[in-house]
Amino acid sequence: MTNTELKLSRQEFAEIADKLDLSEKAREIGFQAINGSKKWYLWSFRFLCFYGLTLLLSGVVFFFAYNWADLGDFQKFAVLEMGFFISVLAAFFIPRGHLIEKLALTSAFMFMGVFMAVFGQIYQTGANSWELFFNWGMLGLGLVLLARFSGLWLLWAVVINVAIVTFIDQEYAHLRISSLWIYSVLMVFNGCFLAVREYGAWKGLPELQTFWLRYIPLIAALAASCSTFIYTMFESLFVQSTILYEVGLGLAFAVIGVGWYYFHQIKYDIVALSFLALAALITFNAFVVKMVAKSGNEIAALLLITIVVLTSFSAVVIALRKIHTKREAGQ
Amino acid sequence: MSFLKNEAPASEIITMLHQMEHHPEADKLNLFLQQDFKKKPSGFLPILTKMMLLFGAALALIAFMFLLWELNLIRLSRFNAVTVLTGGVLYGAALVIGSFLFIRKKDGLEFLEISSFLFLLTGQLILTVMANEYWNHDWLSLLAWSLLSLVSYFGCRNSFARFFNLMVALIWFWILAVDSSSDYLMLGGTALNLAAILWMAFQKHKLQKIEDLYYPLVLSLLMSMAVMIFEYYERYQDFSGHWGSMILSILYISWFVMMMFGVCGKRKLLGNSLLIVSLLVAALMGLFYGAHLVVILGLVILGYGIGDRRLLLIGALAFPAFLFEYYYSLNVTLLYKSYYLMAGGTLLLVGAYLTHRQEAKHG
Repeated sequence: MTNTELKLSRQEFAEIADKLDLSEKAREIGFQAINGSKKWYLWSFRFLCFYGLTLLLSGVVFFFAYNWADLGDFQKFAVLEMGFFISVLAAFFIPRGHLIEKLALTSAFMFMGVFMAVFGQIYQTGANSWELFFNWGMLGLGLVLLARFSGLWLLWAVVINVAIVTFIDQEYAHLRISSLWIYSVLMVFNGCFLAVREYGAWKGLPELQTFWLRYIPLIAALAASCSTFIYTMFESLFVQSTILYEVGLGLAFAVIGVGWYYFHQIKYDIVALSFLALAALITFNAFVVKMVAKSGNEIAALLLITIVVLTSFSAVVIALRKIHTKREAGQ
Repeated sequence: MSFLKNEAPASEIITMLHQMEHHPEADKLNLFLQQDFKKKPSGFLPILTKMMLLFGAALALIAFMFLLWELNLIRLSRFNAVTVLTGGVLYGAALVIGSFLFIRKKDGLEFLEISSFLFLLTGQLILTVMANEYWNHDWLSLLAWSLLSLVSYFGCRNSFARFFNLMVALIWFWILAVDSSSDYLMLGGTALNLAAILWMAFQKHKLQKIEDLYYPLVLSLLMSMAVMIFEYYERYQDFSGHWGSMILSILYISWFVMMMFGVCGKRKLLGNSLLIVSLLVAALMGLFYGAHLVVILGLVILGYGIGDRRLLLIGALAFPAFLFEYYYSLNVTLLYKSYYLMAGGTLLLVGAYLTHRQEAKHG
């Protein structure tokens, strides 16, 4: 990419104009190119469409919410089913790949979930709430595949995450380490979701190439992995089950290690590496705290913890900056 | 997301300069871009690493405070000279290291950077607690924190430390303002906050020394909104309400109108459907306790208008949160709220249609 192919923001152009001492007229021309009348019209149109639709639909939701208690059971079903069918029909008639088609299928997915929730409320099936989320996720998968929309993929992942948490919470609440299971299964699911996203992006599927679809499951998997370790660390303090603690530590570092290898060697991404580094720092420092907590000398332990935290964080930041500089210089 | 983007290819700018007969400046820009310009390391790395250092310092703070306690260097329960001295030394050390880092501006000094964060956080916290013990007065303690933040703002020129210190001061201010239940304080604070944001937004390029104040002020506005809605809109559930609720709506709507004229007027777009329709929606929502939603939409427009993507993003993210809050607010019934929202939405869609027509007409 030559420098003239670069895209400049308003702020970047203002800085360059200052440096080159460009005239007021030239600055005005530059600003016009960045967000002048033409772009302003286009942006205004999108802004008014987006927020107009949002306010209008919110108004409709508020209206039904107000009248909900007065509606009969069949009227409630009719409203939701109508919403579902109108959304699917709209998607059917709108050209494939258009944003409106994707949004229509997303709203069909939402209507499906609300319909199932209302069905459960009216007929009191006695089913656990995890079944609602699980069935919603499974039945809605077709719509997700059809929509080819990153936002809907994320929504689907959230539904399955909720299904996992409620499933373990409701079916295995009697187990002392049920939280450990929740963290571990969330780690595995989000890790697998990330792997599917990476494979799909590699295969060129546009809906899976959105950058945040990489970071959100990555952060979720890392948060679950850190929680697994920290949970087992404290659990081992109480039940003296060291194997549990070692498994937690091993799992946390295995997840971080695999992620690091992938985002460093295969698909370079400094932001993902930063998240991984942060997770590694939290795990490592928690490990240090556990190691020194049992020592008799409190002053030495606190001093050591302070120094280790400061040193490890600054070392990792230096390493990240070096990796990035090296990578940029190599390109 | 094109909605959030506010940039143009450099080649397009150069071509436009040539078309408008500014050949020497176009060539100067082209030459600069080809030879000297290096795009700043965009993206998250600089922000992430700074955040990581601040996070590390905050983690270390816990152990460090216990360490100082164990060494009998601090006793926070009563005012004493040893604790003040410890806080002062740490605060001073943070300023010295901060100034050194500012002069050196070199990579590889991250240990000093994180240490200065730690000393600043610890020193400022200790000194403020001591000020509170000495005066036993909340507002004076806030004043102490604000003065220390002011000194460190120019002494320790790290935008994250500045952001953190200012955010704490502003959050504290709103807590005390609500606690005191003073209408003048709450409405005065809101008016000042709104005015400061607008002034800074349009003068930002000239205010480089205090530009780190800007985002804390924007976040403080959102925070104050959450507080104000409860204090005025929620508490008084009928239209006559309290005079404060009317003043608050007037403040929000005046800000929005001034902002719209500032953004659209600059582009000679008076008569633009965005302007007209937005003002109508503002008037409608302002009458029915929805003025804060209009201010949030205003942040999105302002963000685009002045080319500030962060501001645009803050507004875009805050909107669903405040819409959700509007659903649960008790000032008007859901039925009325649904009418206002539908009317507002329809007006905006009419505006979209008019914009489309206007654009087609002018090519």
